[in-house]
Amino acid sequence: MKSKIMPPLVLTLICILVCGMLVIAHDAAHVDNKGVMTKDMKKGCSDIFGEGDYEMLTRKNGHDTEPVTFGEKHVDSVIADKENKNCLIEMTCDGYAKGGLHLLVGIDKEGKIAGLYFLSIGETPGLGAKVAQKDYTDKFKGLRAEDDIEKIDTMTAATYSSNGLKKACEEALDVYTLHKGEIFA
Amino acid sequence: MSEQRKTLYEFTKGIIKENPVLVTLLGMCPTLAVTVLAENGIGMGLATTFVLVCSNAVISLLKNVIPKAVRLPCFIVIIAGFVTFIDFLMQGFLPELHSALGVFLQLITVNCIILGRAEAFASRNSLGRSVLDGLGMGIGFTLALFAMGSVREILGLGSWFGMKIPYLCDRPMTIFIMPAGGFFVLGCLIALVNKVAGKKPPKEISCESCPNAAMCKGQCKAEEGA
Repeated sequence: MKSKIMPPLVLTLICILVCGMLVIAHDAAHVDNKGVMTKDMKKGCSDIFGEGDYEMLTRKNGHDTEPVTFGEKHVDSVIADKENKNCLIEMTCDGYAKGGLHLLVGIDKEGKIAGLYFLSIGETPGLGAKVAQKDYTDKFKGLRAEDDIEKIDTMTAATYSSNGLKKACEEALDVYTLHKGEIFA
Repeated sequence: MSEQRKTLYEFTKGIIKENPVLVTLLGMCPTLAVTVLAENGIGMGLATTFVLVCSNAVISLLKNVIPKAVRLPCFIVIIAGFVTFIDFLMQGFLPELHSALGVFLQLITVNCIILGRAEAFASRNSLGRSVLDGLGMGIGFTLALFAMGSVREILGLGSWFGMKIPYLCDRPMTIFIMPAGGFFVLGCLIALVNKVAGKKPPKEISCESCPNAAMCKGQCKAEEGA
């Protein structure tokens, strides 16, 4: 009888103990960046548009504050400088790696891309990660929603990452065009 | 061997003589996948060392409590707990490294080095010796990944820890950051360690050391003879 009860009992107890410890560890280690502008984001804003009064759009969901994403899958947050009518959209898109492209797409008051700033890149160093180089991201500057982003050449040996970046820019421009009124309200 | 030397041996054996990557060839998936940069190698190595030391310590403490019938599920739960903990920490405080290591961080749970040390060592030895064994193996794993990452980053990207190396940065050999380059560098490092450790190939491969011996029953030898 003991040999039948003890093994599952010990395993269950160990599982409960580990789960309990993980709950405590999660509370201690979890850094909630939702709705908060990180240092890197602030640097990205000033790199693209210079100094300004940047504010992340947030909304209340019960007791929690969460960033506005307009229900778009790849949009993490929207940052606006309402005075100068500049907007930055934080996107996480798939390149070669899932979620490998995490960037800010800066869109100016004319609806043109003013610049891109990578918050992190999980693509292969030396290959896909080359799409974050300035000479490639500069090719996206000045593009509008009605322009054909597909015309931009993909980078050699970084086809998936280039296509992911193009998709991120297209989606950011679409979000801006559709929700411009709400962003600067 | 005196007790003190025995204890010291538990720590040092994992660094060169029984290095988990370069001698026993365990943990090959993360070794080949994340060592594109030296920084990634160190990050992965330290995360694995943390899990190795903690899981070895806990398993050694619970060795008399855990019934034999459920020892492997228990080991996996304990190891998975520590892996999830290090995953939380990295996600919160080192998001870039977390993103670079990707799924391989969670896969530490089923890393055969950790499960192997838990089963072969920690579940049969005292707390102190198990911790030393975990630490030694972890350092050996970290050093191997760091060496792999350094060679691949220097030759494949012309940089080291992001610092550009003159001449090489203008002529990077991209093959080294691709999977084929990983295998090549691993092979060279294994050869180097064998040379340093003075390891010689066995004169004859016998059935005693063959993992397929039970299934084969000497059939291969008969085919060889024919």
